[in-house]
Amino acid sequence: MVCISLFIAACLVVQAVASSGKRPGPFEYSPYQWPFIDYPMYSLAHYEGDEVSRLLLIGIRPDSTKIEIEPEDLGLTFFPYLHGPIRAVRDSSRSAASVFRDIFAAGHGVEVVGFEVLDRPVVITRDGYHPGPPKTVASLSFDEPAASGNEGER
Amino acid sequence: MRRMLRAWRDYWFRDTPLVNLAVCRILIVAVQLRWLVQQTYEYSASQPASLYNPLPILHVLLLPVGWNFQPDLAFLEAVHYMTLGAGLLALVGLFTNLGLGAFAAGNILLRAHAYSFGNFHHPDAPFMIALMILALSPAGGALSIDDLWRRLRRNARHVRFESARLLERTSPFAGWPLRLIQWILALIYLSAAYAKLAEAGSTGRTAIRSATTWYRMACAGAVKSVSGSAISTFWPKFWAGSPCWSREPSSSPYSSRPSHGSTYLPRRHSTWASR
Repeated sequence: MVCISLFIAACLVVQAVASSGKRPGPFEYSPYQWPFIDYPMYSLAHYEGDEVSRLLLIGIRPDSTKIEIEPEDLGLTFFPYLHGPIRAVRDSSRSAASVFRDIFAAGHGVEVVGFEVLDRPVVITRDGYHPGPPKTVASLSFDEPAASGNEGER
Repeated sequence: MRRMLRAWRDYWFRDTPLVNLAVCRILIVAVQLRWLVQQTYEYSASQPASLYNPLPILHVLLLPVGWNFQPDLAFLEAVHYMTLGAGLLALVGLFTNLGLGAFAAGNILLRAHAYSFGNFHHPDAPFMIALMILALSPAGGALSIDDLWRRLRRNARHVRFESARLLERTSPFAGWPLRLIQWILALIYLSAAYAKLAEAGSTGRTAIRSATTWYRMACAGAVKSVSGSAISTFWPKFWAGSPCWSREPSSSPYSSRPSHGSTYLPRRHSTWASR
């Protein structure tokens, strides 16, 4: 009975900490306690006029033309796409980004010498959502020498 | 202090019919088995190593083969079939606790691996916790081959036939698993309401409306899905429909309907326990 009581108490404490959404120490994202989880699903409110980001990876060819790279082009689904190539470019991590450059080259036979992350937001209005002005939020070139301290590894 | 301890004991360890726990075991394992048989692992096994960011629990489960071991397709498929076998044992109640433990560990390993590539979904976590808890409980004390075997041996020893008397057989250890699952689910839903309140911005009325809407949806989900967990397991047509409150297509066994519906059993347990 004592062992089970300790187990019950431990489960309740771990779940309570997970439910609080606190992320102690080095843990940067929620499921570090998985299967004990928080559940903040769809809690972020958006209001009229808000821009909602839609990020897209753009490949830059050697002749400087650009090609849109969707998640399925890299064999990824939406979240790995965000956590993989998009994050690699935003973190200026060439080693992480080069993995996706190689995957894209192997799958499509297209060489890219750099990536950009393009935000094509939608704007929330009373009449529905409308496209907002696109903007480049990050870029990475494989040709240029790495800027010191900017080669962030995940 | 003594009163607190007594209250704790009276709450968690009051006599409860073993059949309640057995019914939950069968339903939860059946739902999980149905999900498991549909799984393939080619996608997660083919992900680039640079995306591999193992969850802590995956490190722990893979410790026997190495802290940083990255499972390949053959490893995942071997775990899949062993987990299926363990699930069948747990379902029929043969070596029940061993089967439940292996079933829980296998499922947690497979899901944790799938969630180690930046992709993460919520609904299956309560099932994993429930399986862990059931593995430590007398879930095979009724409606199981273990129990049948035990009673046959006793009848043979006494040279007298005794009927099962399912509802009369109680145990002080049959209630805590269901109450704990109930509490875990309550804390998860509390997190949802708290997030609504905390993140909905400065317009308090909107925040409270969001939180109460979510709470109502959670309750409605639990009540409306009384049959969701069980029936939809055996009736694939159920999976085709979207949950009434969700805009997401319900293409997965882990759609909101069965997972919210899973709250019903532990909640219902309070009524059962008082009989």
